[in-house]
Amino acid sequence: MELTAGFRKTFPGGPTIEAELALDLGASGLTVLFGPSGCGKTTVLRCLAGLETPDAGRIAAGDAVWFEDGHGNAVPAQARGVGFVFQEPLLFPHLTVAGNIAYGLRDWSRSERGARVAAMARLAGLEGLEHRRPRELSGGQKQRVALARALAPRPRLVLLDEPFASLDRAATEELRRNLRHILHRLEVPAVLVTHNPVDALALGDHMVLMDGGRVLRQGTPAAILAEAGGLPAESFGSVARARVAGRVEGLLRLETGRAELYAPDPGGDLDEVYACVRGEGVSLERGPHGRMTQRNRLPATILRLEEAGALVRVHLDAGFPLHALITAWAARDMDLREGEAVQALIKASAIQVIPIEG
Amino acid sequence: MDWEAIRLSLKLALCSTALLLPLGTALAWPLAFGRSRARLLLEAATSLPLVLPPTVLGFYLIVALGPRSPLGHAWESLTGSPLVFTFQGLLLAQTVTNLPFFLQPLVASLGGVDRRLLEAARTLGSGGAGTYLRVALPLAWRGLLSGAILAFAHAIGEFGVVLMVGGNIPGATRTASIALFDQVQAFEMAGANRTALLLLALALTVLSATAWLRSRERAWN
Repeated sequence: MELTAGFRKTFPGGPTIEAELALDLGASGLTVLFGPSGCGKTTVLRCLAGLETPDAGRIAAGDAVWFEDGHGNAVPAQARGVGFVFQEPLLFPHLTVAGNIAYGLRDWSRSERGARVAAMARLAGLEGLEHRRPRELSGGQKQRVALARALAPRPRLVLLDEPFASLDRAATEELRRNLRHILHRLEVPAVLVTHNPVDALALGDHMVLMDGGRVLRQGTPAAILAEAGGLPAESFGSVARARVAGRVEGLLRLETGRAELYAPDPGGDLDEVYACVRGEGVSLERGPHGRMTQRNRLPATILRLEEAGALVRVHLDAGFPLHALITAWAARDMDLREGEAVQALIKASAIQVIPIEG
Repeated sequence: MDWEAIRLSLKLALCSTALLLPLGTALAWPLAFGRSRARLLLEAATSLPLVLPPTVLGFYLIVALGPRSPLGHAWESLTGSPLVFTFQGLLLAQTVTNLPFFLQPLVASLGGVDRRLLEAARTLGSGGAGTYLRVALPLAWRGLLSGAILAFAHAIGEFGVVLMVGGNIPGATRTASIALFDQVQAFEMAGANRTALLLLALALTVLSATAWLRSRERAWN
């Protein structure tokens, strides 16, 4: 069955969001809605869930029309069978972990409900916490409960609105691993909203690139992220495909085209990986071209300078498209110009390695 | 002390609070979450007993409950006795009079419930009533409790409407506040003093309880 959505939504005084999407609900797999903050990703998700009513257009799941012009939300949110995980866990504070997971199982028999809650708690790594209250849980645990709660009623589709937004880095990594495992096990199709390429590469089978309220491109995350200059204007860094060349003092030695990078080792059997570099972790230096003696020091050419408030995004060619995010005064002091050669220094801690599977 | 009057006051307050629980809980839903203009009218109508003089309210209640009204007529043909100047009539009048005291804390509490929790409930298959009963109301339980306590306290002390609708029949409609009025009229100052003190202590206890509940309103977060 296919979910088709083509709709428009304008908020008073805000931008107009337009979306044109088709998702295969028969197949499991995760679609990433990718783009900078404020580009309308969350609105698209809320319209799909029925939490927001579009101004015009049509949303249909197979033969069932969920929304159509002039008919409002023909199918309300509670009848769509769509699970939703919000940026914050939003657990019901008056219910226990088990009570939260069981919330959507009201029509199930008592024994089925008990079995389902136990199974979901096991799958989400929440065993032993069933009788806790939400306020007694860590951020990561809360979000895992939210995920288990959304998936327990066997939704035909689950929508994830930046589910890592409220978590610290360690909890994010853990939930990301859990999420992949859980979605695979339950074989439920999912749409994930994110502006982080790490999420897209680690979780996405398909990617929809949005900016300025519109869908720009669709394809595999790797293909879209690899296109130079194809990324939205907001900071999230850059992505390079790399080959693992060895392990040195707890770091992974990576080869990307003409450059060599050292990055934290995620462990496991690695061959080809994506190296995601956060723009804040890249600094620039002037200096002679061609030396590669120091670690994570890459010769690069400035392609373009782009102002972003007090910061400047420097688009570089370092054998792969690389973005550096530096302060405007640093850019002025260095008198950076397009076409010039510089040295890019990348902090190892600013690189995240994601295995390429298959 | 007129213990019969005090017992009647307590019984009347308990029964009217019991009636208010389902009625007020149902009315609080559109008041807290309704989006139509009718909500404003409903809000004004349910707040009327706060500002109308008890005599005006009592007058309309006599009209509404009297033997010539559809309600009074139906009651009389069903039970053989009239509604006005009886305990049952007084109970209905008290329920209407105390409605805003029950509703205001409850609606305020419901307004403080995180709307995103209600959205989460909807994505889990809960319709409007289910979301109200399973999420909004349990989270607003302090408002529900302080509303019930306030309505109970006000029902014990209500004077004007009781006098208008119930009259002054010992054992049927003569409540503690009416008895106090009688005691003062008859210059029984010692008895009046005891009755007044009892009503004062009761009101103070009840208000302290609601103040304490409100101070703990945010304890969920």
